[in-house]
Formats: sequence, structure tokens, C-alpha cells
Amino acid sequence: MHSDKIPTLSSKARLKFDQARQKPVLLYPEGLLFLNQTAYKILLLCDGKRKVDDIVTELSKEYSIERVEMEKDIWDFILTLCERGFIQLN
Amino acid sequence: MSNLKLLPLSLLCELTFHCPLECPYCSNTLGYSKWLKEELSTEEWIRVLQEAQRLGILQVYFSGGEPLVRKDLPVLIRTAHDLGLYSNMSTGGTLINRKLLKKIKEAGLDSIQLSIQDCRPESADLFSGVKKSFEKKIEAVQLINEFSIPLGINVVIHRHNIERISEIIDFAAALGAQRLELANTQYYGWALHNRKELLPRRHQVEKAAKEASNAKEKYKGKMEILFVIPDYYSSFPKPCLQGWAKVYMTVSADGTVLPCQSARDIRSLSFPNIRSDTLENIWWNSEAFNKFRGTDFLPEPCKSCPRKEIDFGGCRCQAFLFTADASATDPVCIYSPHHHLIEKIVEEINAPKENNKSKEPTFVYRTIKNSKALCCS
Ligand code: SF4
Ligand code: SF4
Repeated sequence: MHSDKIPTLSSKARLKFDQARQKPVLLYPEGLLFLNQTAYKILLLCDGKRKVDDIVTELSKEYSIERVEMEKDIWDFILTLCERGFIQLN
Repeated sequence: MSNLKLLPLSLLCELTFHCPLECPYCSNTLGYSKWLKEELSTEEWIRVLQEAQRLGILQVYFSGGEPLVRKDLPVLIRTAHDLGLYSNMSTGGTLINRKLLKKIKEAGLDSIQLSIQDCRPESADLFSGVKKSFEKKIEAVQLINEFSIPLGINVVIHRHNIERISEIIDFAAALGAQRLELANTQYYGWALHNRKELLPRRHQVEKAAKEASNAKEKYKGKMEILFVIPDYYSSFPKPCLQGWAKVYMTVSADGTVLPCQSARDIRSLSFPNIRSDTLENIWWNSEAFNKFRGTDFLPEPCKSCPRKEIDFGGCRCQAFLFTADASATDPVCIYSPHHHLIEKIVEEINAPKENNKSKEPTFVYRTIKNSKALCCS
């Protein structure tokens, strides 16, 4: 995998914490997606500075889980959002 | 009292019924001219946005008519932005200029949905009823791209442009759209009035569906393409609004609050107005919003049908327009006792006719004059 790729939240997507429902949410032109905590953390780290590799490292530290156990899930999530145009991978 | 699951998610603000274009398939009600002088003020719209945010709404769609007719649009966008609401504008694009777009962008608009009528100038202008409108839209698209505002394009599909669907798709991609909605005409308001001229034939629909699905592959990852079979040609109704008064609400130009933008035509219901009530009270307590919430109101055949959790018995507006009973099964459904009404319309359109080739369409355009004539007769 290209772990030195840098993911950025695309300009049409906005991430925020919805106070009314106490849930993180991703907003985009035609709808929205409520997120779980992990998804929210990944997206917060898609800031155009960190590589996917860095994100894996940070989250594995935070959750004290081995990198190998997280890497695939994080990639799958990022690629899915990429396909829907919510993330750009450069 | 507030069930978190039932908090509304999006608000459609029909800021004005004024529009420089005259599309014969406009979803506005035929009698819109009655309310032209009753538009909400800037202060009233600001109050609506504040109440919406407090009610849990996350997204606002500014629409119309043409929202750019309102001089206070940048102020309203700014208000939505400052409240943390995601804001979209649905526009015909002909009023866009550099100065205005800059203002709107700075106010915090998140995305634009621009409608085009066709990919060819002559036909596009024929459908919008206004000369050179196509040219202006293309200029608007260039400006939108220059300002890097996320752009979706919407094309209403009907009998007279459905055969150009591939050409339209390529055209939208060349314009830089991130998303293309090929919106099959829905027969409410003006579109219902013009249905004879708009409803496509079966072979056209089948060909278009195939072409759209091929194009989806072709543009995967570049442009998202949406094409749904027109509901007169499907066996089951669409899950209207994901359920009546479940996630959407509309505030219309004159302050009328509607569960759906076409609901004004359900004459058997009376709808509340933001001038005399709060958005919150309307959402939870008004008769109009509670009447068709959930699925308990549904009669047979829906009552004992497992699909009711998927389609909620279809569209209330369509049920009313065909059966005069807004709680009935949507007649689009093949199980509806009124389905023959839809079949008859579809049969008529598909009947072989002599020399029906290349006939110029005869539309009744959405103009103030026509609106007055139609709703006062
Ligand atoms: S109630 Fe009917 S008209 Fe309204 S959005 Fe639903 S399908 Fe459309
Ligand atoms: S009978 Fe009612 S619930 Fe069943 S498919 Fe038809 S409209 Fe939907």
C-alpha cells in the first residue's frame, strides 16, 4: 500500500460535532453521515499534512493496538470515502 | 418530548417565487403568483435559521424560484454559516456575476447546485423559455470553478432531452461537475400540468437507463452520476422524503411550513406558517406534520405489506393528486387499487402515433401570467 500518501478532507465535505445528537457528523452537498468515534478521529487527522502512515501510528498509540491490526481498517475507510469524493489522496 | 431519532436534518428554504426562467417542469405550485407579495423579510428568515439550528437541523438548502433574486442572500448564507449549518444554493445560474459570487463565497456557502436544461443551447433556451440563458449558465459555471466552490449539476430529464443523456453526461463532466443529478421529471405543480409533453416513452427510458449506468462506470471517481427511473415506469413508489416529517422540512417564500415542497397541493390539509408559530412547535405538534408520520396511517394494501418500512407507501402528494385521499397507497405501486390510472397515462404516451417525430413541444411556461390564468380559472 502507498502509506506515504497524504489524505485531505475535500472542500465539499465538512466535519463537525453535532451538539443536538452528541455525535460527530460529516456533511456534504447532498446529505450527511453520522460517524463513530474512530471514524471521527481518522477524519480529524486527514488534515493534508499527515501521511496515512502517520495516522496509523497515532491511532495505534492512542488505542494501544498493534499497527498491523489497524492498518487495513483505516485504509479501507479512507478509500471508501475517497471513492465518494469526501477525501482526496495525494 | 424530543425523540432524538426524529430530529429534522435538513431545511429547504424557498426564499422567493420570483425567477428569471420559465421552465415548464418547475416544481413550484401552479398558483405561486398569489404569494409573490408575501415574501418573508430578512429578519424573519434569520429567525427561521436560528430556530432550525436549535431544532437540530444540520443542512440548509437555499432555493426558490431563484434564490439570487433576493438581495439579502449573502446575509442569510452568512447567518447559516455562523450557526454552523452546512449551506447549499440551488440556482439557475443566470444571475451570477463575479462580484456576487465573491460575496457569497465569503459569506461561507458550502456548495452550489446549478440546473441546466440541456447540453445544446437552442434546446436549453427552449426549455427555460428564455433566450441566451444557456450562455449565461456556462459563464456562471466558469466563475464557480474559478472560485473553487464545489459544484453539482442538475438536469431535469423529460421526453425532449432524454435521448441526449450520454451527451449531457459528457457535457457536465467537461464543465467540471463533481456530481450530476439526472432528475427525471416528477409530476407535481407545473410538470403535472405539462405532463403530456414531458413524460418520456418506455423505449426512451430503457435506453437512457442503460446509458446512464455505462457512464457511471466511465466517470467513476471523477463525477458521481445519479439517475433514477421515472416513477411512472417503476413497479414501486419512491421512499418519499425518507418518510413524511422524518428528516426534512420546507419553509416556503410566504412562510408556509411544509413537510415536502409539493405538499401545498394537498388541499385536504392546512399548513402552518412561520409568522404565527415556531419551527419547533410546527415540527412536533402541528397536525400537518403529524398526520402521515410513520406508517400507522397507511390503509391496505400497504398496511400488511412488508415494503412499507422501505417506501412508506410512497408519496402523499401523488396519492392525493390521483385519489383525492392523501393517506392512500401511492398509485405508482402495482398493488394500489388506483394503479390503472397510472397505467392509462403510460399507455397513452406509448401508443404508436403517426408523424409524432420531431414535433415542436407545446409547453405552458411558468410565468406570472400563466399562473394567474390557471389558478383563477
Ligand atoms: S411528498 Fe411527494 S411531492 Fe413531496 S417530496 Fe415526497 S414524493 Fe415528492
Ligand atoms: S403496497 Fe404500499 S407498502 Fe407495499 S409496495 Fe406498495 S406502496 Fe409500498
